[in-house]
Amino acid sequence: MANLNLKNVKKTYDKTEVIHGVDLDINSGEFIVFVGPSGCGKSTLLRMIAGLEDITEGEISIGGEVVNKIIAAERGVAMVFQSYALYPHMTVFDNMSFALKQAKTPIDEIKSRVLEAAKILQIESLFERLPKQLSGGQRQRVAIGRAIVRNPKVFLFDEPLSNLDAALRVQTRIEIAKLHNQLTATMVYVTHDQVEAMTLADRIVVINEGIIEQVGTPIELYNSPKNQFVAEFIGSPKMNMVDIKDGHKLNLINLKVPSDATKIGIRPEHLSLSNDETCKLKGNVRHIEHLGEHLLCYINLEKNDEIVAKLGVNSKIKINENICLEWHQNHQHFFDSSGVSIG
Amino acid sequence: MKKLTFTSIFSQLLLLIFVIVWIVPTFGLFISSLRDKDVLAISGWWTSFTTTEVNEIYRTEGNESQIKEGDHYYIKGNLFGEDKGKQIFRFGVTSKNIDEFEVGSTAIFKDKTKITVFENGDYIWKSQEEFKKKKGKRVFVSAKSPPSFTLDNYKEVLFKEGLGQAFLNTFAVALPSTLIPLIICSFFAYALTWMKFYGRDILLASIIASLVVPLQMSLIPILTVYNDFGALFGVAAKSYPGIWMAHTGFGLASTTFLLWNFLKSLPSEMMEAAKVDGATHYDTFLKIVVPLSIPAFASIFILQFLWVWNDLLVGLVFLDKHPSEIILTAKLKELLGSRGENWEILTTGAFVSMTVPLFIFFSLQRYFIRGLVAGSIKG
Repeated sequence: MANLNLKNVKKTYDKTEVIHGVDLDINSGEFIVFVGPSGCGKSTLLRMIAGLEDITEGEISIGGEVVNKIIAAERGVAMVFQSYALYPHMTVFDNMSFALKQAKTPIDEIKSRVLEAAKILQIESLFERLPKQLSGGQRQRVAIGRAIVRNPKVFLFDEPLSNLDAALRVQTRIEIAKLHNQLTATMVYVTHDQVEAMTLADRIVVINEGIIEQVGTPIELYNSPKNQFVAEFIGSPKMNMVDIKDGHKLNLINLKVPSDATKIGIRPEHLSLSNDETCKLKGNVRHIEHLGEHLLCYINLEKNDEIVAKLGVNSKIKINENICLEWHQNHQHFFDSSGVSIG
Repeated sequence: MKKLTFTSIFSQLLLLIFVIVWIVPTFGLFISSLRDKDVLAISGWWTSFTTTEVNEIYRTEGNESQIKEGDHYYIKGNLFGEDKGKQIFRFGVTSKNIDEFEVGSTAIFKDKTKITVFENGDYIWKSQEEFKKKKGKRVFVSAKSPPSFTLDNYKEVLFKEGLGQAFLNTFAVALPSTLIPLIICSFFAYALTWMKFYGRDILLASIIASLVVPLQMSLIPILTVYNDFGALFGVAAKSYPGIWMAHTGFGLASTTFLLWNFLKSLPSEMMEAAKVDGATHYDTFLKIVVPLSIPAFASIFILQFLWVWNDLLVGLVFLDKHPSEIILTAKLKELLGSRGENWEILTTGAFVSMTVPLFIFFSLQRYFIRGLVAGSIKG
């Protein structure tokens, strides 16, 4: 258990800078999720912490010690890979004990530590099997077990669930959350899936094109995104963005619009049907998806813009019907021309 | 069930033809090597499985072996002498009518003596008067000759002609010449694939480029260099270490290239996991890469071993021709010149030289196929 500090970390490949100076302080025992679209540099950042990539500029320190020049094995980190990266020719026990054997740990201690980790993940019965004889979920457990055995200061997860099917992904996600509570270890987790980010993280780090867009708790990011990118990235379906000055029939009487705002953002789940008096936005229903617990209603505004509204199943709307929408003023977000949140 | 299309039938037929074209000569060579040298010279190997009919002439024993029983004189014996196993079904006593009599019946010679010939070649020649001639009489027999095989050719070739020693010599050349490049190249290919160092790409490109340099071109320069170098240490000009080094050198590029091809198909995340787990490059190589590369090693072992085994040129240049150094192919070439008419020696010699490639191929063929398609199929 240790805190992790990144100070102006940069990464350059052949003169192309991919990480543009990242500053981040991760507290001891915190669960941090790096989230962002593919190619944003989140995996590179994780690999730099792990010691698999050189740090071009800046400093990474684990537990107060600068680790730039320390090799991966001695940084006290353990990594769980997307493809599990188990050693195919070794049994589960050998896979889990490999790191300890490399560190010349006494055999009794190896056995007790592997057994302890296996108990946490309930994989004791798999010790003699080879990775090819395991299911995807079991392989992932072994990969996590291999990390636990090392008793690292920081756990690093690189999209560990993306090779699992949907049901197993939810189950494993819950187990990782439990594991964090049980081990109270510092964990850094990379994903492009914002549901994983929201459910697992103590704090989320939203990364885009090599810079940090925002750091905050899941609720902070959801309620008060700092900019348009974060606003659209967090939440599903993504936040609706409507140009203000473009003459949509926004009922501006009920709205207090900051002077330099060019866009208003409202989440689909915050939109509701209204009567003509409280109407803030008019549109034409294009398509309706019934999802059981709610409806997803695709509404065409003038100028061919489309927004999505999440409505109750009892809403009596039809395709091609003109409807009025309203929302609570706490749920509206204004952005200026450069995409930065206002107010 | 796969649908029968024209292409699938065609490919199956083609396969069948390949199999026949490969198996028939091999098998023929094998059978020929086991046949008696006299029979080999006059008939094809395919006739050796069936009982064949042969017409032969034998001569009975002369008067010194006659015995008198009662008032008749007898000469008893066997037409075949020591060489039994044939079955007579007809015989004759004149050259005009060589199959006049049924076996077991009695024929009368011109001089009124009577002879009875039995199936196994036993005969009883009976005369009322004493036999006077020292020479026996001719008997024509039609006999069935059963298939017969012999290991005599192998005995002769291996021990008298010195092919056995050449066989061992070839092993002494081929094993180190296969293992040394395999060991060197496995380390080298690992470094080329998984270690970052300056000039790696140029090194790789130069290896691939050197694949196209013909062996013949560099043969003599290398020999000269080796001789000059060897002279410094007092090593004989032509000796085993020389040919080991030569084969190693000629095999380095292709072996490295094939291994590099295999090693880069190993998942990079696994290598990184090993790195995080505290394995040095040396540990990663020995504990992870080598166990996973056994199929590739096996297939490269086969390729290089067969190449060295069948090589003549390098063997002629780097080794002497005296019995303790001559290799199988050179020995065969020598036999071809000196014993070109003795088919039994050539067929047997050829088969001896084939045994090892055949054995290796059949025992390691699954690695061979796996090695050739390595990387193309998800493991």
